[in-house]
Amino acid sequence: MIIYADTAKTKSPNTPSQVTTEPIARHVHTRSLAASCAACHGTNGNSSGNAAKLAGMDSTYFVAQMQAFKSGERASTVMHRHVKGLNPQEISDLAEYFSAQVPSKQTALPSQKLSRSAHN
Amino acid sequence: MQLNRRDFIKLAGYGASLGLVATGLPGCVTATKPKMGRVVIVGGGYAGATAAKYLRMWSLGAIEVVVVEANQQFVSCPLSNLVLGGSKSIDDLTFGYDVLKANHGIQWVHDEVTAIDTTAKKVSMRRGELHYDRLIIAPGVDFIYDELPMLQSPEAQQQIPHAWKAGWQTVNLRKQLEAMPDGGVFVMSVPKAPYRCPPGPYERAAQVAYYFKNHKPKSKIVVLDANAEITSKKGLFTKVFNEMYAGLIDYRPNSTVVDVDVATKTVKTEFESVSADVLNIIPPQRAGKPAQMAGLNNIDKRWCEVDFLTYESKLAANVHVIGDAISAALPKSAHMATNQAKICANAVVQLMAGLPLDAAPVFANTCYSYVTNQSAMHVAHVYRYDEVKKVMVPADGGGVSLNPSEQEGSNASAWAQNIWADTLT
Repeated sequence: MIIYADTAKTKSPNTPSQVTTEPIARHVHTRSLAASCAACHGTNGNSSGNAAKLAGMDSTYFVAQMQAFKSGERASTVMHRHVKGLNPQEISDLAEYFSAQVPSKQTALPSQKLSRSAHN
Repeated sequence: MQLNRRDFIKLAGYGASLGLVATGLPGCVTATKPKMGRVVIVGGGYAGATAAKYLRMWSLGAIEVVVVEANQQFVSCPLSNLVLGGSKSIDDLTFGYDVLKANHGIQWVHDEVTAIDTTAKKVSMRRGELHYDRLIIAPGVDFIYDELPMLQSPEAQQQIPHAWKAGWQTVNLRKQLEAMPDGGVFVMSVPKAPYRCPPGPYERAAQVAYYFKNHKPKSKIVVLDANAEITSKKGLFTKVFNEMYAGLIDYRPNSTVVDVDVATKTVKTEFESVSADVLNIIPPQRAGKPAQMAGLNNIDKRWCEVDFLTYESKLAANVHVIGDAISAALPKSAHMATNQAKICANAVVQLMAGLPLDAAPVFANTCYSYVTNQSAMHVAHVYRYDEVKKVMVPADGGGVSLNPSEQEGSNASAWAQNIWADTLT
């Protein structure tokens, strides 16, 4: 858990019972921002289909790709738009967030036949 | 500002093991009794199902979540226009809730809400009642038939389906298009904005045009739009209508439907009368019935005003509204509904733990429209909370595709697979 590892490193030895709220606030901000990526990249970055699997991605690689989308060095259809709406802190926090996720296979979709009794 | 030890323990208590927050293991459901209270969610569409899952994930099972949903199945509105175009079947878009429930320990009540008492914090259903600590209402939209009462009955909708909630009406409309002879006229109407899925009607026109072009090339499509112009992806749809489907689509702006003759499928606007072989009226909309029952649709008596940090109603404490039902300068789309659900779930976890909220939420939104069986185009924006205006505003860099493409069609398909998995597993 990156946030608390950071906290452990930075807290003063004289105030062992206190932690700064700043990393916690960043984590709370990052987890819902990261979750908005799930529509294309899957829950916690575990994508199925042709969008990149972000779960477990190396954070340096993640940041480099985001910069390449931003500069146009790496071609994209929508990522160049999204990256321009994020600040550098968010990009680096997203990189850490996704690198800490465990890659897993997506559960199969619970497909069904439309029932006769369904509304609409 | 610093957290004291007691706050930290409180945080650790609800986090159980904070490491799990980072690894975000799906399906980690605690065996112990939920410690933080009960959230009842009314509605299991994109917004409600997503809120249920993320509340369970981010509280690590410490919040008890009960969803009340009247339908047994989830049928996706996104991609349902492809059923009309003929490249998808309704079964491709139909899913059950069992995996979601089991993976996340969500309690599920298959019932219809009949009353909501926000003072007593109680939801009544046909077969019982539920008390909540916090309530999330995700009711989708309700159709307004005040101006077109002749379309309200199930019999009339058999003749003239809205097909604006995916399901049997979508299948019915497809069957009518299949049965229509070549040379026939398909007439569809677009209500005045705001309505569910801004680009949806124009995508529908393109999908029907795709079908006609390949199977019934002498047929015509008339789009009667109550708006002054195409409300979403205007440049792209104009190009698609004029080039890809030249001569097939007759687009008429400022055309509000004022009367319908169900038997003859004749539509009247203020200016003209149009006869159809197949007729599709998309009625004006408002927040779904449960939001009305709670008296939360205060904006134009249609939409619900919320706080964009928490999605809590401006009218009732401890009651949140998410998805198409809210009043916002945000498109009423599935991705948007899931984004709101996640910001709301994040805030509810923090509120129930007595911890600070995210002071300025940010989310990304991508919306695709298919114009053939394989080609799609996007509109994409990041939205950021504006601390002065207290609303979500689009950030720099957003915009639309240059052209529809098969590459984006493939991206749209991946979008669907992933948002379905995110919402339903």
